Amino acid sequence: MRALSEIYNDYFSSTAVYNYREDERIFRTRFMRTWFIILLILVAMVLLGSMVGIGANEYHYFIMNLILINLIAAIGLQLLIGFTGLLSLGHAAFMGVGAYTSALLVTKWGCPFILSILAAGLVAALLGIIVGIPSLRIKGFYLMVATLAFQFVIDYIIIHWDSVTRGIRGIELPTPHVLGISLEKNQSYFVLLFFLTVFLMWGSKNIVRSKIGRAFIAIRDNDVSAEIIGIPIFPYKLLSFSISAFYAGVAGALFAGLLRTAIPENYTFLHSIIFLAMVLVGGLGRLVGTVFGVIFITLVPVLLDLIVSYIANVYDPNFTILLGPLKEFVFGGLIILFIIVEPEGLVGMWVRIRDYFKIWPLPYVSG
Amino acid sequence: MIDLLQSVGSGVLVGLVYALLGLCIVIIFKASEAFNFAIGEFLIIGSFLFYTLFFNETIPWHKALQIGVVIFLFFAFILFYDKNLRLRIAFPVGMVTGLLIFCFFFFGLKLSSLITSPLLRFLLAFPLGLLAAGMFGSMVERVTIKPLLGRSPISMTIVTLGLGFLLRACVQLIWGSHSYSFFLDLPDITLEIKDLLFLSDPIWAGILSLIIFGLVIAFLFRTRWGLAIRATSEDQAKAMAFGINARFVLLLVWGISALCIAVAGIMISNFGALSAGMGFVGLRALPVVLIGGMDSIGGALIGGILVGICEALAGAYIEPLGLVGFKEVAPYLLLLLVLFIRPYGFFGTVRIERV
Repeated sequence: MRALSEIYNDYFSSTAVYNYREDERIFRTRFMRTWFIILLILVAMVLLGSMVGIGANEYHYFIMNLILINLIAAIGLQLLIGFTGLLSLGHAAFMGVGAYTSALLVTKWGCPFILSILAAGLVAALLGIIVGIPSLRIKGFYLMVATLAFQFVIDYIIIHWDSVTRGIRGIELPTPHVLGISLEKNQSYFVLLFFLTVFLMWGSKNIVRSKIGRAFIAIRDNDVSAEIIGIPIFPYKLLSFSISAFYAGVAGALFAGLLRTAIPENYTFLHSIIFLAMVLVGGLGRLVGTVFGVIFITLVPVLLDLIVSYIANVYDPNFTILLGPLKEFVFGGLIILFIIVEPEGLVGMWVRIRDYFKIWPLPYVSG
Repeated sequence: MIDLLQSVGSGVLVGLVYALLGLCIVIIFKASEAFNFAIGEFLIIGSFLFYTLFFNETIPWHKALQIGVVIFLFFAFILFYDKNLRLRIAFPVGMVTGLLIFCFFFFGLKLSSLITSPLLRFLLAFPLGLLAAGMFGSMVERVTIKPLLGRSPISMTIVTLGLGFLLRACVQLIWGSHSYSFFLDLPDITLEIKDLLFLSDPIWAGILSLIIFGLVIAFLFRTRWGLAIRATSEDQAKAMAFGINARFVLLLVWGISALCIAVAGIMISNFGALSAGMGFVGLRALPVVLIGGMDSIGGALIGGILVGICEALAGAYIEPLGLVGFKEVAPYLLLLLVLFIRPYGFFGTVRIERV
């Protein structure tokens, strides 16, 4: 019989990694792979369930879609902030650019939806390279401000370039079709989004575990020493910006497709901060953390909605006007709380809980 | 030509207010290397505190009670963090202060019925409002910035981002999001030289901002605590080794900064009305400090005036071409331009990095 500790180590690997191949695996432990398979089974079950007519309804699918879209955008920001250490406050602007590119392509030129998503990502990536140019000379806080200025400029262009973007009225999109299948229901949109998200997650994992990701991490840790050991930092910073913008652009196009409209108020400074909050609350430098953070931050307003509408129903109908400020209050509070109390984010909490339960019943047996 | 002079003149007057905003950012940046993104919300809260004093505005009891309870909790658990003294000092002090604050918000000070002359009332309410704003600033510092001492400045900056949202939500919950009419009724000093016309309110704004700017500089360069602040900005660890209480310096700096922001806020509200959505004006400080240089006080003055002029010129010459609202983004375009040419601003210190 195998020793208990061996079984433990098989399922929950210790942090020690013995060779590069092990380090580069997508799922480092069998535990993680098990979780991933459980997730796949869960998704399949939810889809099957709603086919029969039990479980998730259209509203639930809408929220799940929202989570997946936010996840795509947040992964981009995670690659930029968590892995390359370049702070950006203009992520929603890239999303807006993606959304408008897709909307214009679909409505004006009749481009297929799936191609417009790709085009949206590419246009955003191109813009990302332009925004990344100041990162040659400035970093940290100054870069944050440059991206903030970029956010305001893009906001202004979207609202005031009336002939193309139709200003605050926004552009309405037709129901998206993929390969002849209509995505009118949120449920069918969810299937597309799920595959895209898994694909993009896989892509980001591949970026992180390859040469590029290692270069990013070296730049994050200290860019001067990264340059000294032979990493050309400027191309890598631009690459990081463009990859991040690509993810945001794709997410923007998908968001426009979900809402069937591209309006400027979905891509403001507030949304940039919300993406920053997702990455920070999830935990910097861990892709899994982003998943946690996105789910958490997306569900908080939904829960608040539920609570507020409950109170409004039972006690006072005027209570609903407090919803907007309450959401902002909770966002702000969460950012402050997580930075002060838990700088490693939800993933840090998760690691601590996991480590506790790893040795839980018999703390002296496992090695 | 007259047009140009007119817009440059108005630009300079507004620019002086922006310079004051820039100064608030600069002193915080010098002391803690962090940028205060919550500046717009400090601006609104400072103005609302002054508004409460000057116009005798009261709020319903349940909101005032919440504020009182928050003040009590702050005094009881954060200001006096000493287990032995908590019952004897912290709780009573917190109770009394919370009650006073509750009374202040619920009953108001009734200044308008005591003093009928608006100028006298302004002279009394202005310092009191500023003091309240300063206290508020140092309170915020105690809660959010002090726990982050020793961590990276970027995390402080991000905390202020969250703080901005939190405070704006608080303002909306307490005072609502409608706008309050704001009329200070200061003596009319409208200036008319030939064809040029400068209205009374911007002139007052420029003068008062300049006075406060001068007072802060005098405080920094002529007093003992100012010296402590400058020493701490130079090198925190060394200043502490020489016996300067760096934590108190940080508190002081945030207090002064909130106080100056309140002045700018009152002046900006005086142009129109006061409302919770006014916070974006505070972000105008970003181009100011980055053009002038993040750690230069003189740079803040020049940057402020430049931004004011840029905005006025954009409003006078570019907006009529059909670009509505270009005034709002012109400072940010200028900022991007400056970042490309001189990343550390015109007067900022260029950092040389060592590994």
